[in-house]
Amino acid sequence: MNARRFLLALAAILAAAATARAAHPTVTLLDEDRKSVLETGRPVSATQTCAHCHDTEFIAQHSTHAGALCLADPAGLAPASERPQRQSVSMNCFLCHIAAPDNEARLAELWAGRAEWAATATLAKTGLARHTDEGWTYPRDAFPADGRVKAGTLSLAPPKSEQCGLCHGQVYRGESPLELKLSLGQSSTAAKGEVFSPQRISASAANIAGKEGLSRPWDVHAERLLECASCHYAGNNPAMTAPAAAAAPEHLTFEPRRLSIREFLKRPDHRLAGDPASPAAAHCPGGSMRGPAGGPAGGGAGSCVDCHNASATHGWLPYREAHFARLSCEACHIPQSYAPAVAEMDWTLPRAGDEPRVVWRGIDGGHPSATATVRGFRPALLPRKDSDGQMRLAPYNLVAQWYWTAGGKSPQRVSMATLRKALGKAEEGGNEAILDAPEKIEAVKQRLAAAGVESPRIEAELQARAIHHGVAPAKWATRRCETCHAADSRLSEPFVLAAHMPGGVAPKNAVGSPAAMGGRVVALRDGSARYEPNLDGASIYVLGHSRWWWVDLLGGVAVAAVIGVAAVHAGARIVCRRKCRGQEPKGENS
Amino acid sequence: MWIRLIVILGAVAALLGACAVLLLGGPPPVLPPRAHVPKPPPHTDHAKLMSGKFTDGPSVTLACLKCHPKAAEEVMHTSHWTWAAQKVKLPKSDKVVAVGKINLVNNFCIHAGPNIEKCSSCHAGYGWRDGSFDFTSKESRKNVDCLICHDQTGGYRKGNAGNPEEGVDLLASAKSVARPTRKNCGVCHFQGGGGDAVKHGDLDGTMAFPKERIDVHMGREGMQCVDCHRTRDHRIAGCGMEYGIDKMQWVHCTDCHAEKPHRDARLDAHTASVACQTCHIPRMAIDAPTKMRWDWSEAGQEGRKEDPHEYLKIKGSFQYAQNIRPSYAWFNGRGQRYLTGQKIDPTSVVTINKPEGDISDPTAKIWPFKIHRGKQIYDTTYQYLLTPRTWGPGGYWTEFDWDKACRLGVQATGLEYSGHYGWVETAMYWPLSHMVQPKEKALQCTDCHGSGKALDWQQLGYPGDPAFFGGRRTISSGSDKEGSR
Repeated sequence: MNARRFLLALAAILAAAATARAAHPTVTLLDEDRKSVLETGRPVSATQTCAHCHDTEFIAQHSTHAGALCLADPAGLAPASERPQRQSVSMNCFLCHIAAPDNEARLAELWAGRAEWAATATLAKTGLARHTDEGWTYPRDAFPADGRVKAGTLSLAPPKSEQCGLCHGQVYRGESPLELKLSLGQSSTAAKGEVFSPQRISASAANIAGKEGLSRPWDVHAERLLECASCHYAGNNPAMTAPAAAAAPEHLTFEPRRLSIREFLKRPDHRLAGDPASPAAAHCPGGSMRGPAGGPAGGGAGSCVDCHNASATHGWLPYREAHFARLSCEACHIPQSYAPAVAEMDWTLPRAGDEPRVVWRGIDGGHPSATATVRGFRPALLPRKDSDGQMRLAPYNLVAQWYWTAGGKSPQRVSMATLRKALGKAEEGGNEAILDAPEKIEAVKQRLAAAGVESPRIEAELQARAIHHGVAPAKWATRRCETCHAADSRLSEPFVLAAHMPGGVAPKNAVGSPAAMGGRVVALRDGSARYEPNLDGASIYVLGHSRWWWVDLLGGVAVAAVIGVAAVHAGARIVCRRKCRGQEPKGENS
Repeated sequence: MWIRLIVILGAVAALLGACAVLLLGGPPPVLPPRAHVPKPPPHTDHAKLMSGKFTDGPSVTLACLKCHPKAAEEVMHTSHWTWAAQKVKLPKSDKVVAVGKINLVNNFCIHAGPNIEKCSSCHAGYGWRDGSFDFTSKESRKNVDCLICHDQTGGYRKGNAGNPEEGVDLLASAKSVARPTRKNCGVCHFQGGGGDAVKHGDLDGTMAFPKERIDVHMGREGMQCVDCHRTRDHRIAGCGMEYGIDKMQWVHCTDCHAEKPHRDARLDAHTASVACQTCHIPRMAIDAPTKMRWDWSEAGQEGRKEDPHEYLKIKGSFQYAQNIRPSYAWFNGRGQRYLTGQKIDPTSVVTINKPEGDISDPTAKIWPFKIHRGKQIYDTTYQYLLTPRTWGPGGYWTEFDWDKACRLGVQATGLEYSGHYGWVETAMYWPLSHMVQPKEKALQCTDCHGSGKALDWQQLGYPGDPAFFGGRRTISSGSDKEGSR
């Protein structure tokens, strides 16, 4: 019954969302002082504009998307030791909620240091704001006579996946063949090879090896009509969550009390599901996105079980519960990434734009090119401690980074600006130059020392980036037992980190990595490095793969004991038989 | 001692038996679809069996009948011979008439009746020139054309009245006979409407030796038409649309495939409302453009540039399309047929064969169709579609006189002609079942649902996209498992 009600509520919300773009009331674009920008010509303030109906102060306080952004490192790939400065900007509702936000114009304003104009620039494609030689203006003829912008002009609505993709990675739902966009600006695509698209990989324009046979979609959830917001919904969305349900007494199977649509729209909690800070997560300590639904893995396997009943569809899987307890859903359902992802970032030499030297894995040559063959990569399966305390294997991409540090006890990263200052023009480094010889390293060290950098040395770290998207349909998921349960299975498969290690420095595991990286980085003679996983530290014993001495010993003892006991028993019977033979009374027929 | 031995042996036998039951028991193995295709009988080489000189088609047939004495009579009971297999009840009448190509109007060449000497080049017989053709007598058995379906030389050609063209080597054809191939069927079915790919959106010359990307059954599996259109006593299974009261022998995908073959509950749930063809024929006329519109009213224009895909003076203007998405409609297998002489409303589009079924019909499924639109001649006084003579003496193609063509044409069809004619828009539905694509190329969820535009849900009777509003069972009853479709 509650499932049916939930579906009806969901249908109502989706229907409402579908008509929302047309239903939204007219909007007056206001500046920071709540005056019409048509009158003042000043930057649009999204928070003031939307505050007429929405509690933007509440939203800003309950949002993981408001207030700060990292321009230089949208993928979050920069070394944890010193990430680029995060800029503080006003919340920009337009970026996520209008149908055609101009993200390029917005980013241009942010890069230029004109953060106050970012929201205005976001409106550029609507025609309401225009960039001229004198800066941003508001063409009067684009506005109705009363200055109130009609709903159709902005098309305000809940965010579509495409809006999320502006910052989070490649989202594509067009009919023409998908072209891979490989840049650090496509954060999840760059860091993890994630592409959210319903299109069959075989139908894409990417030069993927064996593409003809890849009839699976890039992401099955995109194919099955899900939006990003279907899982990452607002924390108090009444169609998705019932805050009171967490405390509902046992006799209730459905909690009808929830926020009204009006209340929700007034104060939508923008701590989206999937974020640990989201109230949706708080309602489910197991780490679930959608309330205390529980699941075959005790509600702790991750967000997949919020919607999926894994037990019902894995009847074929031997030791099902044992698998659920040790494997994340993604471990089997993201067996391969068909898009490249960043493998190496080398910050040890100055380069144009202060960008690092980036090498991608999963593409021939390591650099995006129209002619290079894309091969994708098989993610590393690493143990991860889930919120229920259980260690599960999950798919990761590993990104190795090299950079200079300075100082003694608490070394600081040497910025690219300092490096450039010490070494001269960025072009000196060249895009392919690499510190692969002692004399080169020494030369740079000397120049850095001359520039005042104390005890310069190259350090390297290894980031593990968990892969959650790019989910394959069931038929494409890992099904063969030998994939894991073999001595040379993928669980111990080395993961290539880099063809060359700048300075010969092997990367160390990054601090705060979600993955329990119990493996080791191995530097090979040819200067390359690879990561060799080790499950022993995670206490995960895989039948047919793991070799624990005490298990082997126990097994040997058990076998020996069985043979011994059987031998003793048989021997006793033989001895007894012999002894008894002479004592048997002689019968008449014997 | 012996008793103990017997007990031990019995226990071992029971154990082995239990193991055998475990290993060999359980559900029977699922056979692949190909295993359901009947194996054809072994071929008999007729090269040594046929000899002598064959002067005409009937002489070949008489030779065939020496060994296959029942064959001609069997053929004479099929629609390939009668062109009138379907019996329908006339509107507002209890009268039942047999209908078929012989007496129905279409919006291609309009009507076979007045032009039968030309049209009968696709008749499985010899000598059909006019209404006097003998369909039933024993003497007519020699007029059954065996070669049109069984010739394997590829050189057999039929001309007017269905007789072999001059120069055809009948002996060679007779020696070559074998089980019909795609080429045999294609001689008529690929050329329907007057040329390759004209009539059907899913049957054209590319199907003679198709690649897998054209049709998975014929391209990948190498199947012949008669593998699915299974034939018994020369009665060939299959029917595009069932119009009448005769129950047709259908060809179903489930003759070989499981009813729920997808190993995906969500996809399998679709099979209750969506025909297999809908997803697995995502596009029609893949390589050869098919005719989508035929405007007869523009025929006869002097000096207009001629192009067989755009305009011909004798036929009017055309629109062709290639590799296009079909149209979709509910279809329960039956159709409503416009019968010759039936009144029309000339102010609206006349649907010549409307598929039956709607969202409330539990036997109907959403099917893909080619909809051929036409503009054709009708009698403005009697308000019915006219049957002009186009081919032959006095026909429109020679004299470009519609009035004369209609006067001659109605003589063959028995209609009255007032002498006043006009032009009316018409539409014909052609259900698609060929050019089947494998799952890798079938429609995806997003082609129809969400922002997908393949299906117009409201036109199909849904309040909106059933992925969000629920399936038709939910809409009608409020609760059903299929509601989640």
